[in-house]
Order: sequence, then C-alpha cells, then structure tokens
Amino acid sequence: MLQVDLPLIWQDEIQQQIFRQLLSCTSLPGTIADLSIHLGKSTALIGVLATFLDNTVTLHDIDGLVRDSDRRFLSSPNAPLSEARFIVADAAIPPTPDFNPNLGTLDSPEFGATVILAGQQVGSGELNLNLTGPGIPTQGRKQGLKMSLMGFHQDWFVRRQELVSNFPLGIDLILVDAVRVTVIPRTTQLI
Amino acid sequence: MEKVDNQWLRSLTALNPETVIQLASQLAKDWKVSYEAIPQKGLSLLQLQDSVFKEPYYLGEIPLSTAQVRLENADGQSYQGGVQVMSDLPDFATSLAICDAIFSNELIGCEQVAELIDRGRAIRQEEDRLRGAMLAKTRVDFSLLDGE
Repeated sequence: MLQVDLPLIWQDEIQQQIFRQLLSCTSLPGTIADLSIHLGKSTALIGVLATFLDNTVTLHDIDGLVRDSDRRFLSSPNAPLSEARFIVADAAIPPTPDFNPNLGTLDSPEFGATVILAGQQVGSGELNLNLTGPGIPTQGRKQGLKMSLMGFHQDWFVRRQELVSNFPLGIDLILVDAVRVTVIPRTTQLI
Repeated sequence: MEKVDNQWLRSLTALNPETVIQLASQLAKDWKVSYEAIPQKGLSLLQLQDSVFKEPYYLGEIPLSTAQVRLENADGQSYQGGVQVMSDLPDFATSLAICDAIFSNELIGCEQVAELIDRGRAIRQEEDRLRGAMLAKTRVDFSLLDGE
C-alpha cells in the first residue's frame, strides 16, 4: 500500500466540505464558518484558496501572504491586480489609492474579482459592521446584522462601498482569520 | 549501473503497473514521502501537426496523470521525483515519481529500479522490432515504374 502525505486541504473531499460552508456563508452573508476541523496545519486563507483556485483561475497576492509551497499546490497563474479573479491582501494594511480590481462587465458581472482579506479575528473585535441585504434576516433588527472584526482596516470597507456602487458590477469580499471565514457579497449593504 | 536517460519512463510503463507500484511501495517505506504538487489524473487533448499544411490539430483525448513527490529521510535530506504519464491508474504516476527520485538520485533501491527498467526495455525492444517488421511489410517499391 502506497503511503504518501497530502495535507487535508488538498484532498477533494475536504475541499468539497469547505465549499459547502463557503456556499452557505455566501447565501447568508454575515454567517461565520469555523473551518478548523478541515484545515489541519493550514490556515483558513489557504483552505479557501485551495477550494476555489486551480490552474485556470488567476490570483494576485498583494502582500505575499501565500507561501511558495502553497502556490505550487494551487498552480494558479499570477495576474495583475486589475485582471485577477482572486485577490489576497493583509486586512490590517489599508488599500492603496490605486486598488482597482476587476469589477466585471454588465454582460458578465461574474468576472468581478473576489477579494480575500486576512485579518486577526472574524466575529469579535473593535471594528463593527452592520449588514443588510439579501440573505440577511432583519426581523427585529433596525440596524441590520452586526458583525465585529479585529485586524481589519476600516478603509477596506470604505473602498468596497465605492467599488460596489454600480451594482451588478463590483467585488465580493471573503474575510478570514486563522480558522474562520465569512463572506460579504456585492449584494450586501454596509450601514 | 547503466543509465538509460530519457527512456527509463518508457521502459517502466511497458511493465505491468502493479509491479512498479509494488516496488515503489516497498522502497517508499524507508522514506517520508509527500507530494510537492497536487497529483492530477484525467484526460488531456493531444495536439499534433498535420504533415501537409503544418497546422496544429487535436488527435483526441489521452489519459494523463502527473505526480511530483519529495522523499525525505530522518537526517532531513530530501530528494524529488516527478512524472507525466499516459495512464489514469491510481497510484501509478506516484509510484513512477518515487522510482524517478530513487533512480535519478542513485538512492538505496536504485538497483531494483534499474532492474525493472532493463526488463521494461527488453519488452519495448521486442515491441519496436515487431512494429518495425510490420512497417517494413507495408513498404511499396516504386522502382519498377521508372522503367516504363
């Protein structure tokens, strides 16, 4: 019997389970999924990338958060910021003025980039967001669904508001910490 | 030990895959084996060039597997091996990649890999001889036409 180590997140079954959780988070924005049982020694960032990327999906890693060894497994081609389908950034560092990702086109808004922000904590922290929009229950809440974050610079959400202002063009945000993940699709309003 | 360079993979794939997998499993016991990239298995389009207009065309789909492995011992020394092979048998590409790492780095067990390569090479040589004979039978001699 041939025994070869392949970390959990690179195994099909695990990626399918992570995908299921990400689908749930996207359908119900503000939902926080804990991926720790799927990750082994990896982080939620790599778990999300492993699930979504392959050699046909481009990546732009602004702050060099993805190690070379993980890049080999992802086999995802590099692309400039304005063309990449997925963008990874350190959430503690605010976006630069020239942060202009692909917003898609009116014919194909699905080509808008997905931006993955890696911060310290999802679900608790000093930065509070109020989410409203499709998939977010508002019964009994005047201010929408509250979500707290730590290690996420506020400017990211200011810039995100600008980028989704011409809906359906825009970007989708995935927020991760070491093991947790949540999704803010472009349909969600931050109030 | 004689090296066969680029022919080693062709020779090993001439053998029953189970033979190669068994040897790789046995040799891998002395190492910590890990993948360096996700092993892939599936179909690939084979592109050729037509002989008249020299334009590319797709002949059809072929089964293709890739594997890239790292062998590491207790001392922290590591060696890599990798293959792309026209096969979709589970573990076959990985086994060939292990054989590549052992054979090309002349690690313990390389004699056993070399022995398998020799056996495979003999099979390929016999295949080549048969195909050569078949090809020779299809040769047409047009020399008689010149005399008319």
